[in-house]
Amino acid sequence: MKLKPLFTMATLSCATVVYAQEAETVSPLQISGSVDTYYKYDFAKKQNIGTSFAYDQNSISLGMIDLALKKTTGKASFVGELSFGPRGQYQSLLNGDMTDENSFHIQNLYASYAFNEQLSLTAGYMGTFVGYEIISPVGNFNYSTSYLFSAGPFQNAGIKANYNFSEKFGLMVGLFNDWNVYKDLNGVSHIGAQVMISPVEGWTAYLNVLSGKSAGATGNGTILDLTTSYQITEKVKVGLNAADYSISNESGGYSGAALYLQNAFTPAFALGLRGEYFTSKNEVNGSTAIGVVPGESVTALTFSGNFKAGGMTFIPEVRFDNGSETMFTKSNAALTKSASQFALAVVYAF
Amino acid sequence: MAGSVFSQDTLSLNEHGRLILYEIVTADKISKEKLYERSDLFLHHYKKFKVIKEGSTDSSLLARGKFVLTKNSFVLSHPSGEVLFKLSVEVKEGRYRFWLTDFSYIPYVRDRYGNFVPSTAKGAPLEQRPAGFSAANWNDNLMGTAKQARVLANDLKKALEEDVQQPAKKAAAVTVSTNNW
Repeated sequence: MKLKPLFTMATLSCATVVYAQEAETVSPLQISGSVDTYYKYDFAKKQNIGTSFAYDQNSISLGMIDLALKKTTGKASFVGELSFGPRGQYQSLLNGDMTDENSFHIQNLYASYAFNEQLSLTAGYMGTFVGYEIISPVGNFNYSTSYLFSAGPFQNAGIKANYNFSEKFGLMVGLFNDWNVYKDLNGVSHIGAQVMISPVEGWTAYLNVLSGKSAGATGNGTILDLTTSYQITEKVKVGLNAADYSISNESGGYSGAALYLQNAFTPAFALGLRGEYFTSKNEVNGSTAIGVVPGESVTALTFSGNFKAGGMTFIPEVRFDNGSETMFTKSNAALTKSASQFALAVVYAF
Repeated sequence: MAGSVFSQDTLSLNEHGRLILYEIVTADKISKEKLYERSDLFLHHYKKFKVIKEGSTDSSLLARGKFVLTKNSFVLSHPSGEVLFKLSVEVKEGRYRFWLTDFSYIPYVRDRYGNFVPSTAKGAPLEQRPAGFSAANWNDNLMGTAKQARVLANDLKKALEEDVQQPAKKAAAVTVSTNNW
Protein backbone atom coordinates (compact mmCIF):
# COMPACT_ATOMS: atom_id res chain seq x y z
CA MET A 1 0.00 0.00 0.00
CA LYS A 2 1.27 3.28 -0.93
CA LEU A 3 1.35 5.68 1.87
CA LYS A 4 0.70 9.17 0.90
CA PRO A 5 3.19 11.52 2.41
CA LEU A 6 1.69 13.44 5.30
CA PHE A 7 3.21 16.64 4.06
CA THR A 8 4.19 17.71 0.58
CA MET A 9 6.50 20.55 -0.26
CA ALA A 10 7.59 22.12 -3.52
CA THR A 11 11.15 21.10 -4.34
CA LEU A 12 13.55 23.98 -4.31
CA SER A 13 16.30 24.00 -6.86
CA CYS A 14 19.76 23.83 -5.43
CA ALA A 15 20.56 27.23 -6.98
CA THR A 16 18.00 29.33 -5.13
CA VAL A 17 18.03 31.63 -2.11
CA VAL A 18 15.02 32.37 0.02
CA TYR A 19 14.56 35.54 2.03
CA ALA A 20 13.29 33.93 5.23
CA GLN A 21 11.15 35.65 7.82
CA GLU A 22 13.24 37.35 10.49
CA ALA A 23 13.85 34.86 13.32
CA GLU A 24 12.77 35.72 16.86
CA THR A 25 15.47 37.76 18.53
CA VAL A 26 16.96 36.20 21.64
CA SER A 27 19.72 38.26 23.08
CA PRO A 28 22.18 36.91 25.63
CA LEU A 29 21.82 38.22 29.15
CA GLN A 30 23.45 41.65 29.14
CA ILE A 31 25.44 42.50 32.23
CA SER A 32 26.83 45.99 32.66
CA GLY A 33 27.47 48.51 35.36
CA SER A 34 29.74 51.10 36.88
CA VAL A 35 31.66 52.07 39.96
CA ASP A 36 32.57 55.56 41.11
CA THR A 37 34.47 57.27 43.86
CA TYR A 38 35.31 60.91 44.57
CA TYR A 39 37.06 63.52 46.66
CA LYS A 40 35.37 66.87 47.28
CA TYR A 41 36.75 69.97 49.02
CA ASP A 42 34.55 72.98 49.79
CA PHE A 43 36.69 76.11 50.25
CA ALA A 44 34.66 77.01 53.34
CA LYS A 45 35.91 73.76 54.85
CA LYS A 46 32.39 72.48 55.31
CA GLN A 47 29.57 71.02 53.27
CA ASN A 48 27.78 73.93 51.60
CA ILE A 49 26.35 73.17 48.18
CA GLY A 50 23.32 70.98 48.73
CA THR A 51 22.87 69.26 45.38
CA SER A 52 22.92 65.48 45.11
CA PHE A 53 25.93 63.19 45.51
CA ALA A 54 29.53 64.44 45.92
CA TYR A 55 28.38 65.28 49.42
CA ASP A 56 31.23 64.45 51.79
CA GLN A 57 33.66 67.23 52.64
CA ASN A 58 37.43 66.58 52.47
CA SER A 59 37.01 62.84 52.26
CA ILE A 60 37.82 60.19 49.69
CA SER A 61 34.31 58.84 49.50
CA LEU A 62 32.19 56.26 47.81
CA GLY A 63 29.73 56.81 45.02
CA MET A 64 28.17 53.47 44.22
CA ILE A 65 28.60 50.15 42.49
CA ASP A 66 25.84 49.73 39.96
CA LEU A 67 24.88 46.46 38.23
CA ALA A 68 22.36 46.19 35.42
CA LEU A 69 20.86 43.09 33.83
CA LYS A 70 18.91 43.09 30.61
CA LYS A 71 17.51 40.34 28.41
CA THR A 72 15.36 40.36 25.30
CA THR A 73 13.40 37.40 23.99
CA GLY A 74 11.42 38.20 20.90
CA LYS A 75 9.21 41.16 21.71
CA ALA A 76 9.61 40.97 25.47
CA SER A 77 12.45 42.29 27.56
CA PHE A 78 13.30 43.12 31.15
CA VAL A 79 15.79 45.35 32.92
CA GLY A 80 16.90 44.95 36.51
CA GLU A 81 19.39 47.42 37.97
CA LEU A 82 20.79 47.25 41.48
CA SER A 83 23.02 49.76 43.22
CA PHE A 84 25.06 49.69 46.43
CA GLY A 85 26.79 52.57 48.15
CA PRO A 86 25.75 56.05 49.25
CA ARG A 87 24.90 57.29 45.76
CA GLY A 88 22.94 54.15 44.99
CA GLN A 89 21.15 53.85 48.31
CA TYR A 90 20.11 56.59 50.71
CA GLN A 91 21.22 59.44 48.41
CA SER A 92 18.94 58.31 45.59
CA LEU A 93 16.58 55.67 46.95
CA LEU A 94 14.25 55.55 49.92
CA ASN A 95 14.40 52.69 52.35
CA GLY A 96 12.12 49.72 51.69
CA ASP A 97 8.45 50.49 51.92
CA MET A 98 9.12 52.98 54.70
CA THR A 99 8.23 50.49 57.41
CA ASP A 100 11.75 49.24 58.01
CA GLU A 101 15.33 50.24 57.37
CA ASN A 102 15.93 47.86 54.50
CA SER A 103 16.73 49.25 51.11
CA PHE A 104 15.70 47.38 48.00
CA HIS A 105 18.73 48.86 46.18
CA ILE A 106 16.72 48.99 42.97
CA GLN A 107 17.29 51.72 40.37
CA ASN A 108 15.32 50.07 37.56
CA LEU A 109 13.07 47.02 37.62
CA TYR A 110 10.68 46.75 34.71
CA ALA A 111 9.43 44.62 31.86
CA SER A 112 8.66 45.80 28.38
CA TYR A 113 6.74 44.43 25.41
CA ALA A 114 7.20 45.73 21.87
CA PHE A 115 4.03 45.08 19.90
CA ASN A 116 5.79 46.28 16.77
CA GLU A 117 8.51 48.75 15.80
CA GLN A 118 6.28 51.66 16.75
CA LEU A 119 4.39 50.65 19.91
CA SER A 120 5.73 49.31 23.18
CA LEU A 121 4.38 48.99 26.71
CA THR A 122 6.57 49.17 29.82
CA ALA A 123 5.67 48.61 33.46
CA GLY A 124 7.65 48.68 36.65
CA TYR A 125 10.02 50.89 38.57
CA MET A 126 12.03 53.11 36.27
CA GLY A 127 14.43 55.98 36.16
CA THR A 128 12.47 59.18 35.67
CA PHE A 129 11.80 60.45 32.16
CA VAL A 130 12.02 64.02 33.44
CA GLY A 131 15.20 66.09 33.36
CA TYR A 132 18.63 66.19 31.74
CA GLU A 133 20.87 64.57 34.38
CA ILE A 134 20.52 61.08 35.80
CA ILE A 135 21.55 59.12 38.88
CA SER A 136 24.23 57.02 37.19
CA PRO A 137 27.50 58.98 36.91
CA VAL A 138 28.10 57.33 33.54
CA GLY A 139 25.31 59.36 31.97
CA ASN A 140 26.41 62.80 33.20
CA PHE A 141 29.30 64.95 32.03
CA ASN A 142 29.62 66.77 35.36
CA TYR A 143 30.10 64.84 38.57
CA SER A 144 28.17 67.17 40.88
CA THR A 145 24.53 67.58 39.94
CA SER A 146 22.34 70.54 39.13
CA TYR A 147 19.68 72.02 41.41
CA LEU A 148 17.05 71.03 38.85
CA PHE A 149 18.14 67.40 39.07
CA SER A 150 18.18 67.36 42.85
CA ALA A 151 14.78 69.04 43.16
CA GLY A 152 13.07 66.87 40.56
CA PRO A 153 11.99 63.24 40.52
CA PHE A 154 14.58 60.45 40.51
CA GLN A 155 12.34 57.49 39.77
CA ASN A 156 8.82 57.10 38.46
CA ALA A 157 7.22 53.70 39.00
CA GLY A 158 4.34 53.18 36.65
CA ILE A 159 3.06 51.89 33.36
CA LYS A 160 3.68 53.71 30.12
CA ALA A 161 3.12 53.33 26.40
CA ASN A 162 5.63 54.58 23.84
CA TYR A 163 4.74 55.20 20.22
CA ASN A 164 7.41 56.04 17.64
CA PHE A 165 5.71 57.79 14.75
CA SER A 166 9.09 58.11 13.04
CA GLU A 167 12.75 58.64 13.86
CA LYS A 168 11.87 62.31 14.29
CA PHE A 169 8.74 62.12 16.45
CA GLY A 170 7.63 59.97 19.34
CA LEU A 171 5.07 60.07 22.13
CA MET A 172 4.87 58.55 25.60
CA VAL A 173 1.93 58.55 27.99
CA GLY A 174 1.65 56.79 31.30
CA LEU A 175 0.30 56.48 34.81
CA PHE A 176 2.78 56.75 37.66
CA ASN A 177 3.20 56.46 41.40
CA ASP A 178 4.36 59.40 43.48
CA TRP A 179 7.94 60.51 42.92
CA ASN A 180 10.74 58.32 44.25
CA VAL A 181 8.68 55.72 46.11
CA TYR A 182 8.41 51.98 45.70
CA LYS A 183 4.79 51.99 46.81
CA ASP A 184 2.15 54.65 46.31
CA LEU A 185 0.28 55.36 49.53
CA ASN A 186 -2.58 57.32 47.95
CA GLY A 187 -3.10 55.21 44.83
CA VAL A 188 -1.63 55.61 41.37
CA SER A 189 -2.01 59.34 41.32
CA HIS A 190 0.20 60.83 38.61
CA ILE A 191 -0.20 61.11 34.89
CA GLY A 192 2.79 61.80 32.69
CA ALA A 193 3.58 62.36 29.05
CA GLN A 194 6.57 62.98 26.85
CA VAL A 195 6.90 64.26 23.30
CA MET A 196 10.17 63.55 21.51
CA ILE A 197 11.14 65.52 18.44
CA SER A 198 14.30 65.37 16.39
CA PRO A 199 14.07 68.15 13.80
CA VAL A 200 17.52 67.61 12.33
CA GLU A 201 20.24 65.00 12.72
CA GLY A 202 22.00 65.43 16.04
CA TRP A 203 19.27 67.49 17.71
CA THR A 204 16.76 65.83 20.01
CA ALA A 205 14.27 67.54 22.31
CA TYR A 206 11.96 66.09 24.94
CA LEU A 207 8.93 67.94 26.30
CA ASN A 208 7.87 66.34 29.57
CA VAL A 209 4.93 66.77 31.90
CA LEU A 210 4.17 64.96 35.15
CA SER A 211 1.21 65.91 37.27
CA GLY A 212 -0.56 64.51 40.33
CA LYS A 213 -1.09 64.73 44.05
CA SER A 214 1.46 62.95 46.19
CA ALA A 215 0.54 61.37 49.51
CA GLY A 216 0.60 64.03 52.22
CA ALA A 217 1.01 66.90 49.77
CA THR A 218 -0.97 70.10 50.26
CA GLY A 219 -1.83 70.40 46.60
CA ASN A 220 -1.56 68.98 43.12
CA GLY A 221 1.97 69.22 41.72
CA THR A 222 2.77 69.66 38.03
CA ILE A 223 6.23 69.68 36.51
CA LEU A 224 6.84 70.93 32.98
CA ASP A 225 10.26 70.10 31.65
CA LEU A 226 12.25 70.70 28.48
CA THR A 227 15.35 68.58 27.92
CA THR A 228 17.26 69.01 24.69
CA SER A 229 20.72 68.46 23.28
CA TYR A 230 22.32 69.25 19.95
CA GLN A 231 25.51 67.63 18.70
CA ILE A 232 26.59 70.56 16.58
CA THR A 233 29.77 68.96 15.30
CA GLU A 234 31.60 65.78 16.09
CA LYS A 235 33.30 67.67 18.94
CA VAL A 236 30.82 70.28 20.14
CA LYS A 237 27.60 69.56 22.00
CA VAL A 238 25.07 71.93 23.53
CA GLY A 239 22.40 70.91 26.03
CA LEU A 240 19.56 72.72 27.74
CA ASN A 241 17.27 71.80 30.61
CA ALA A 242 14.44 74.08 31.69
CA ALA A 243 11.75 73.16 34.19
CA ASP A 244 8.89 74.61 36.17
CA TYR A 245 7.26 72.86 39.11
CA SER A 246 4.16 74.25 40.74
CA ILE A 247 2.02 72.94 43.57
CA SER A 248 -1.54 74.16 43.86
CA ASN A 249 -2.96 75.90 46.95
CA GLU A 250 -0.01 78.31 46.91
CA SER A 251 2.26 75.52 47.98
CA GLY A 252 5.24 76.77 46.03
CA GLY A 253 7.52 74.88 43.74
CA TYR A 254 10.56 75.86 41.77
CA SER A 255 11.78 76.76 38.32
CA GLY A 256 15.11 77.00 36.57
CA ALA A 257 17.25 76.45 33.54
CA ALA A 258 20.65 74.92 32.96
CA LEU A 259 22.84 75.25 29.88
CA TYR A 260 25.49 72.67 29.05
CA LEU A 261 28.42 73.33 26.70
CA GLN A 262 30.88 70.57 25.90
CA ASN A 263 33.84 70.30 23.59
CA ALA A 264 35.65 67.04 22.92
CA PHE A 265 39.17 68.12 21.99
CA THR A 266 40.15 64.49 21.42
CA PRO A 267 38.30 61.19 21.92
CA ALA A 268 40.07 61.00 25.30
CA PHE A 269 39.66 64.57 26.56
CA ALA A 270 36.72 66.94 26.79
CA LEU A 271 35.84 70.08 28.72
CA GLY A 272 32.38 71.12 29.78
CA LEU A 273 30.68 74.09 31.35
CA ARG A 274 27.31 74.03 33.07
CA GLY A 275 25.56 77.29 33.91
CA GLU A 276 22.39 77.12 35.95
CA TYR A 277 19.78 79.47 37.39
CA PHE A 278 17.37 78.03 39.98
CA THR A 279 14.66 79.72 42.00
CA SER A 280 12.24 78.60 44.69
CA LYS A 281 8.75 80.02 44.24
CA ASN A 282 7.69 82.63 46.73
CA GLU A 283 4.31 81.36 47.89
CA VAL A 284 2.56 81.28 51.22
CA ASN A 285 2.77 77.53 51.67
CA GLY A 286 6.01 77.09 49.77
CA SER A 287 8.90 75.10 51.17
CA THR A 288 12.65 75.20 50.77
CA ALA A 289 13.99 73.39 47.74
CA ILE A 290 17.59 72.13 47.90
CA GLY A 291 18.56 74.78 50.42
CA VAL A 292 16.90 77.61 48.46
CA VAL A 293 14.11 79.18 50.50
CA PRO A 294 10.93 80.49 48.82
CA GLY A 295 11.57 83.72 46.97
CA GLU A 296 15.32 83.18 46.67
CA SER A 297 17.42 82.03 43.77
CA VAL A 298 20.89 80.69 43.06
CA THR A 299 23.19 80.62 40.06
CA ALA A 300 25.83 77.95 39.65
CA LEU A 301 28.79 77.63 37.30
CA THR A 302 30.50 74.26 37.02
CA PHE A 303 33.63 73.52 35.00
CA SER A 304 34.38 69.85 34.44
CA GLY A 305 36.97 67.87 32.52
CA ASN A 306 36.54 64.33 31.22
CA PHE A 307 39.71 62.31 30.72
CA LYS A 308 38.86 58.92 29.25
CA ALA A 309 40.99 55.80 29.22
CA GLY A 310 39.14 52.71 28.09
CA GLY A 311 36.12 52.37 30.40
CA MET A 312 37.44 54.84 32.97
CA THR A 313 36.66 58.55 33.13
CA PHE A 314 38.57 60.90 35.43
CA ILE A 315 36.57 64.04 36.23
CA PRO A 316 38.25 67.07 37.78
CA GLU A 317 35.70 69.73 38.57
CA VAL A 318 35.39 73.19 40.09
CA ARG A 319 32.09 74.85 40.96
CA PHE A 320 30.93 78.33 42.01
CA ASP A 321 27.45 78.94 43.45
CA ASN A 322 26.03 82.37 44.18
CA GLY A 323 22.72 82.96 45.94
CA SER A 324 20.39 85.96 45.85
CA GLU A 325 20.56 85.98 49.63
CA THR A 326 22.90 84.46 52.21
CA MET A 327 22.34 80.75 51.92
CA PHE A 328 25.82 79.35 52.51
CA THR A 329 28.26 79.52 55.40
CA LYS A 330 31.89 80.47 55.64
CA SER A 331 34.53 78.59 57.57
CA ASN A 332 33.87 80.85 60.57
CA ALA A 333 30.15 80.00 60.40
CA ALA A 334 29.19 83.44 59.11
CA LEU A 335 26.46 83.44 56.51
CA THR A 336 27.45 84.26 52.95
CA LYS A 337 25.93 84.40 49.49
CA SER A 338 28.56 82.32 47.73
CA ALA A 339 30.13 78.89 47.91
CA SER A 340 32.79 77.13 45.90
CA GLN A 341 34.22 73.65 45.76
CA PHE A 342 36.42 71.42 43.72
CA ALA A 343 36.07 67.68 43.21
CA LEU A 344 38.03 64.82 41.70
CA ALA A 345 36.00 61.82 40.64
CA VAL A 346 36.75 58.51 38.97
CA VAL A 347 33.99 56.64 37.17
CA TYR A 348 34.49 53.24 35.60
CA ALA A 349 31.82 51.81 33.29
CA PHE A 350 31.85 48.15 32.28
CA MET B 1 31.45 29.06 -8.42
CA ALA B 2 31.94 32.63 -9.55
CA GLY B 3 35.41 33.91 -9.05
CA SER B 4 36.07 36.97 -6.97
CA VAL B 5 38.97 39.29 -6.53
CA PHE B 6 39.01 40.99 -3.18
CA SER B 7 41.47 43.17 -1.36
CA GLN B 8 42.05 41.25 1.88
CA ASP B 9 40.16 39.31 4.47
CA THR B 10 40.20 42.34 6.73
CA LEU B 11 39.43 45.94 5.98
CA SER B 12 41.85 47.72 3.70
CA LEU B 13 42.51 51.36 2.94
CA ASN B 14 41.41 52.95 -0.33
CA GLU B 15 43.23 55.65 -2.25
CA HIS B 16 41.71 58.29 0.04
CA GLY B 17 42.89 56.63 3.21
CA ARG B 18 39.40 55.37 4.10
CA LEU B 19 38.76 51.88 5.37
CA ILE B 20 37.09 49.75 2.75
CA LEU B 21 35.97 46.20 2.03
CA TYR B 22 36.11 45.91 -1.77
CA GLU B 23 35.37 42.97 -4.06
CA ILE B 24 35.11 42.43 -7.80
CA VAL B 25 33.16 39.29 -8.65
CA THR B 26 32.99 37.50 -11.98
CA ALA B 27 29.49 36.12 -12.54
CA ASP B 28 29.55 34.30 -15.84
CA LYS B 29 26.26 33.83 -17.66
CA ILE B 30 24.42 36.28 -15.45
CA SER B 31 23.24 39.33 -17.30
CA LYS B 32 23.63 42.87 -16.11
CA GLU B 33 19.86 43.18 -15.82
CA LYS B 34 19.62 40.05 -13.66
CA LEU B 35 22.47 41.21 -11.42
CA TYR B 36 20.82 44.60 -10.98
CA GLU B 37 17.44 43.04 -10.22
CA ARG B 38 18.95 40.74 -7.59
CA SER B 39 20.91 43.61 -6.03
CA ASP B 40 17.78 45.70 -5.76
CA LEU B 41 15.84 42.80 -4.27
CA PHE B 42 18.62 42.19 -1.77
CA LEU B 43 18.61 45.78 -0.55
CA HIS B 44 14.84 45.68 -0.15
CA HIS B 45 14.61 42.41 1.75
CA TYR B 46 17.87 42.12 3.66
CA LYS B 47 17.04 42.51 7.36
CA LYS B 48 20.44 42.31 8.94
CA PHE B 49 22.48 45.38 9.75
CA LYS B 50 19.59 47.83 9.13
CA VAL B 51 20.50 48.09 5.45
CA ILE B 52 18.44 50.79 3.73
CA LYS B 53 18.62 51.65 0.04
CA GLU B 54 19.44 55.29 -0.57
CA GLY B 55 19.78 55.70 -4.29
CA SER B 56 20.35 54.06 -7.63
CA THR B 57 21.28 54.55 -11.27
CA ASP B 58 20.82 52.10 -14.15
CA SER B 59 23.95 50.21 -13.14
CA SER B 60 24.58 51.00 -9.50
CA LEU B 61 22.87 51.05 -6.13
CA LEU B 62 23.76 52.81 -2.91
CA ALA B 63 22.66 51.87 0.60
CA ARG B 64 23.54 52.58 4.19
CA GLY B 65 23.51 50.39 7.26
CA LYS B 66 25.00 49.81 10.66
CA PHE B 67 26.85 47.10 12.56
CA VAL B 68 26.26 46.82 16.30
CA LEU B 69 29.43 45.93 18.17
CA THR B 70 29.21 43.84 21.31
CA LYS B 71 31.60 43.90 24.21
CA ASN B 72 32.25 40.42 25.54
CA SER B 73 34.42 39.98 28.59
CA PHE B 74 34.02 36.91 30.79
CA VAL B 75 30.38 37.07 31.92
CA LEU B 76 29.86 40.59 30.65
CA SER B 77 28.11 41.04 27.35
CA HIS B 78 26.41 44.15 26.09
CA PRO B 79 26.37 46.42 23.03
CA SER B 80 29.37 48.72 23.09
CA GLY B 81 28.78 50.83 19.99
CA GLU B 82 27.71 50.92 16.39
CA VAL B 83 29.50 51.41 13.10
CA LEU B 84 27.64 53.18 10.32
CA PHE B 85 28.62 52.39 6.74
CA LYS B 86 27.80 52.95 3.09
CA LEU B 87 27.34 50.05 0.69
CA SER B 88 27.75 50.52 -3.07
CA VAL B 89 27.03 47.94 -5.76
CA GLU B 90 27.88 48.30 -9.46
CA VAL B 91 26.91 45.76 -12.12
CA LYS B 92 28.09 44.98 -15.63
CA GLU B 93 27.44 42.13 -18.01
CA GLY B 94 28.78 39.01 -16.33
CA ARG B 95 30.47 40.78 -13.43
CA TYR B 96 29.82 43.09 -10.55
CA ARG B 97 31.65 44.85 -7.77
CA PHE B 98 30.69 46.18 -4.37
CA TRP B 99 32.33 47.99 -1.51
CA LEU B 100 31.61 49.01 2.05
CA THR B 101 33.20 52.22 3.20
CA ASP B 102 32.61 55.48 5.08
CA PHE B 103 32.72 53.60 8.38
CA SER B 104 32.01 55.83 11.36
CA TYR B 105 31.92 54.71 14.97
CA ILE B 106 29.48 55.81 17.66
CA PRO B 107 30.09 54.51 21.19
CA TYR B 108 27.13 53.45 23.29
CA VAL B 109 26.30 54.60 26.80
CA ARG B 110 23.77 53.26 29.26
CA ASP B 111 20.75 55.54 29.57
CA ARG B 112 18.51 56.22 32.56
CA TYR B 113 16.48 53.07 31.86
CA GLY B 114 19.48 50.73 31.73
CA ASN B 115 19.47 50.47 27.93
CA PHE B 116 22.48 51.03 25.70
CA VAL B 117 21.98 53.91 23.29
CA PRO B 118 24.26 55.96 21.03
CA SER B 119 26.18 58.50 23.11
CA THR B 120 26.32 60.95 20.22
CA ALA B 121 24.59 61.55 16.93
CA LYS B 122 27.76 62.08 14.91
CA GLY B 123 30.18 59.23 14.55
CA ALA B 124 33.93 59.50 14.35
CA PRO B 125 35.67 58.00 11.31
CA LEU B 126 36.70 54.48 12.17
CA GLU B 127 40.12 55.25 10.71
CA GLN B 128 40.88 57.52 13.68
CA ARG B 129 43.06 55.54 16.02
CA PRO B 130 42.83 56.87 19.59
CA ALA B 131 45.98 57.13 21.63
CA GLY B 132 46.78 55.38 24.86
CA PHE B 133 44.46 53.03 26.65
CA SER B 134 41.61 53.35 24.16
CA ALA B 135 43.71 51.84 21.36
CA ALA B 136 42.79 48.29 22.41
CA ASN B 137 39.09 49.13 22.08
CA TRP B 138 39.78 50.55 18.62
CA ASN B 139 41.40 47.30 17.52
CA ASP B 140 38.39 45.36 18.81
CA ASN B 141 36.08 47.71 16.91
CA LEU B 142 38.04 47.18 13.69
CA MET B 143 37.92 43.43 14.06
CA GLY B 144 34.22 43.42 14.89
CA THR B 145 33.48 45.64 11.91
CA ALA B 146 35.54 43.53 9.52
CA LYS B 147 33.81 40.37 10.71
CA GLN B 148 30.32 41.72 10.18
CA ALA B 149 31.29 43.35 6.88
CA ARG B 150 32.45 39.93 5.68
CA VAL B 151 29.07 38.43 6.67
CA LEU B 152 27.24 41.10 4.68
CA ALA B 153 29.57 40.59 1.72
CA ASN B 154 28.97 36.85 1.68
CA ASP B 155 25.20 37.32 1.93
CA LEU B 156 25.27 39.81 -0.94
CA LYS B 157 27.32 37.52 -3.17
CA LYS B 158 25.02 34.61 -2.49
CA ALA B 159 21.99 36.72 -3.31
CA LEU B 160 23.47 37.94 -6.61
CA GLU B 161 24.59 34.56 -7.78
CA GLU B 162 21.48 32.55 -7.05
CA ASP B 163 17.88 32.81 -8.12
CA VAL B 164 15.56 34.23 -5.52
CA GLN B 165 12.44 32.26 -4.75
CA GLN B 166 9.68 33.27 -2.43
CA PRO B 167 9.21 30.87 0.48
CA ALA B 168 6.93 28.01 -0.59
CA LYS B 169 3.65 27.91 1.20
CA LYS B 170 3.38 24.99 3.52
CA ALA B 171 0.90 22.46 2.20
CA ALA B 172 -2.03 21.74 4.43
CA ALA B 173 -1.61 18.65 6.54
CA VAL B 174 -3.44 15.63 5.19
CA THR B 175 -5.95 14.32 7.65
CA VAL B 176 -5.73 10.60 8.09
CA SER B 177 -8.92 8.75 8.87
CA THR B 178 -8.56 5.66 10.97
CA ASN B 179 -12.19 4.64 10.61
CA ASN B 180 -12.24 3.12 7.15
CA TRP B 181 -9.56 0.78 6.13
